[in-house]
Amino acid sequence: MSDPVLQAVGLTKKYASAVSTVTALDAASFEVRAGEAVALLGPNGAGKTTAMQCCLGLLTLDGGEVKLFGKDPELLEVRQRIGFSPDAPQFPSRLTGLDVLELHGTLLGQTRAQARKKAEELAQRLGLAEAARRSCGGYSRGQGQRLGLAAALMGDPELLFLDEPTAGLDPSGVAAMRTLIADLKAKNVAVVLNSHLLSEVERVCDRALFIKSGRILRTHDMHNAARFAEIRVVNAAVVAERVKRLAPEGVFDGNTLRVPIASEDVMPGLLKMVIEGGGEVLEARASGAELERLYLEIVEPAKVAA
Amino acid sequence: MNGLAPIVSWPVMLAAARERIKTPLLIGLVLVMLIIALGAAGPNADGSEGFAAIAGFLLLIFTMMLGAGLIDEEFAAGHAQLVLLRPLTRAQWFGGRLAGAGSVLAAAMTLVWLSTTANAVSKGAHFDLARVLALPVAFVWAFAWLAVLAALSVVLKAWTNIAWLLFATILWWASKLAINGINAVMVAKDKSTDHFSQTVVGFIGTIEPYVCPQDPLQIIHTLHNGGRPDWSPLAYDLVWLFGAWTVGCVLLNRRELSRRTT
Repeated sequence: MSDPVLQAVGLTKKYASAVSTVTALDAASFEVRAGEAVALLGPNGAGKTTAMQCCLGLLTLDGGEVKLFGKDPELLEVRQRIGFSPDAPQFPSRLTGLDVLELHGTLLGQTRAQARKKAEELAQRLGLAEAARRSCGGYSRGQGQRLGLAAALMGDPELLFLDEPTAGLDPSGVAAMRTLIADLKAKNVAVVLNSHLLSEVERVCDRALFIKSGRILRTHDMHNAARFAEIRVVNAAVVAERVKRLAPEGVFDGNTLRVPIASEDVMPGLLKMVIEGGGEVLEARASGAELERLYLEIVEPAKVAA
Repeated sequence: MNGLAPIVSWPVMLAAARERIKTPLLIGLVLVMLIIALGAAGPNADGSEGFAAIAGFLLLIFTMMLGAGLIDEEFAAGHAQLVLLRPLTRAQWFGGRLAGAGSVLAAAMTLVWLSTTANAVSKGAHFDLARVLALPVAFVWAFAWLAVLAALSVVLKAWTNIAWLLFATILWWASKLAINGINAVMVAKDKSTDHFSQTVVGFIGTIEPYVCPQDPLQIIHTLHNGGRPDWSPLAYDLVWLFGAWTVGCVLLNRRELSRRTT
């Protein structure tokens, strides 16, 4: 197994005001390896963005240590290898998107011509080709988000931090983001993702860290996670006996049959079993709600109980 | 130019200059400065006419507008955090922002100087050393003010760096006026010259040249009239310029980069 590109040990961050002190991160430890996509999941105010900003050196730690590529994140050689796309970024209103990207490219050591070329390529790829020629002052939230992502990718980073990358994006933007993360992983880029879009996280990430009140409650490995088939039928009572006999591990929750599966390949067989048993299928899907269920169980158990 | 790379990031400078130069209010002000300076350019002008009197006041306004929120606006938008994650030091970023605004200042002043010089020379004024030096001497003075505004902008939000500077200036003048008034009343009362208020007035008179960048145009007037100028105002302005620059970098190094504070 490769060395971790990000090592966070005992990260602690407190925000102090005149009246109170809030512990935003409480001894959080985690690692991310090359080619791995890791999601930080938790409710608003859980400490996800703070964790990211601490890893990047944007916030001063009250305790703990961060190493990027085994080194201090403040080192200029380390910053050459990272990218960060913040949530709802804003850019100088009188500069065009291409100007902003050119600035980031030249700061990374590219010539102006190289930076311009790369900026145009990224703008094209992220659906900003036209908007990138306009001043940033008139950008929508989604366009700002895309420009932030383009800026983060200007230096072909080996470690990429994405804070709510799909916020403000339209469905095609979300799909493009999914493809992009998959491409980056294929190039051995490590991705740290902070998102509330659990279905996307489930599709692109290798691991999820559940955070609440600044603490990492659990690490969930997507590849080793139990998967389920969910089949909604009109007449559950008719097929219940047959299911009990042929798939004893399956359980009914109202009209929905839930069966643990090893892969999606078994779905046709399950459907055949239900239909041949006289069941009328309304909907069938594999896994899907697994991460959401886990999220609720781990992060918001009170809601599950309710 | 590359020798300055450790303290000035050229890409940041270029971006800062691009931002500033596209500000319609600044462009309008340069046009007004040009018109007023041209009106002052006569056959007896010594080269300082583009930066003195009303033109000098407008130059200060222009400098203030250039320096308004120069550093903090980038933090407030969150763009500073992204740029400072690139392989550059905070000092280089600060230097780049300051030099970018400074280059716009230099361009505007050069434009004013070229126009007034062409106008004055066409009316019979001499093109002497005083006229040549008027531009760099006035620029150092204005740039020193810009550096002060940039340093203030590290710790003050948005355009409040200008507000605090104006407040400090008004407070200084009001205090001076009040102390002078008190002193005049006390002297008139018992005709004595040995008052504490007089000591204070004397003290204020002594420190006044050092509390802010000094107007160095006296150098130009003296040179134009064939005298030996006192170069110290220019030296003080250079001290203010590099002093404020250093203080700005030190303050920036102490600042937490993220927007989130509570």
